[in-house]
Amino acid sequence: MRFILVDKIVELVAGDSAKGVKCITLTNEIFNEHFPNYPIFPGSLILEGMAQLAGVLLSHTLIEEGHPYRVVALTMVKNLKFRAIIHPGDRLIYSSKIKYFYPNEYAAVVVKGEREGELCAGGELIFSFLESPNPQFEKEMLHNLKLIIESYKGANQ
Amino acid sequence: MDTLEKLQQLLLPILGLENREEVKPESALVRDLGAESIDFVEIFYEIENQFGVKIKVQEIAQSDYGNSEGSVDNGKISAETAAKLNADFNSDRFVEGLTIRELFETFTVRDLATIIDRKRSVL
Repeated sequence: MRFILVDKIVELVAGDSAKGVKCITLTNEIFNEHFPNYPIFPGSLILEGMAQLAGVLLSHTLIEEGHPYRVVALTMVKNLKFRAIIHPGDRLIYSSKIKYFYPNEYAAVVVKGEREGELCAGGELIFSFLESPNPQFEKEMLHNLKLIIESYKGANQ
Repeated sequence: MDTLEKLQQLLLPILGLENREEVKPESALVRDLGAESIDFVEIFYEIENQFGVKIKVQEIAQSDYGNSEGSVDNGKISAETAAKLNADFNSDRFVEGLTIRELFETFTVRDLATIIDRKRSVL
């Protein structure tokens, strides 16, 4: 399995917000264990999906607003609640809205996961910006980010 | 509740403490209360949420005072900078020769409340 937990990004506005879609399918190997004959999509993976969307939004914002490249790292999860049980066949809409953005320090993003308009998960994620360990790493990360954003664009066609 | 009391309350869960008496105004965030860099991210985040002011790490590290010429020599503060810090933070503990790191490590709860009040007064 690829550890990319957002199927497509349908909105990406630098400095502001992003929206993504995650379709839950019974094919997902996670359901072998979580749980046998009682498939529930783990809240931790919903959190990871929302964090990935927020991470793309923040990286995209750094680049679009001309800040030096930084590694966006999840450092805190605030007031996150999983309000509904998610099953195969469900389609989750993840949204990210930037609350604070300080490229030399940290950023806070309000995240939500909704199923047909019903709030299923939500809270605030705080990210730190870390120095890139070396130029090669930075080059590869920027390349990967571009690929991810481009492949999402492809998925929207 | 004044700024200092509200700040003490805010710091309790972040620093893993239970009683406000443990967060004394003269307690140093790093040296006495064991605050680490991840804690400062949360402290600034909660200060912005609850007081509506943005504080930067540089203000805590006092490097704002280290920017003008002659204020810091070999990473140590000059007598002039020490006098300015004492005036700004209503203190007498700043002395010539303190390093920037020592300033950061000895930064107190009351100093943080002073910065918050100063920022709120210009809002």
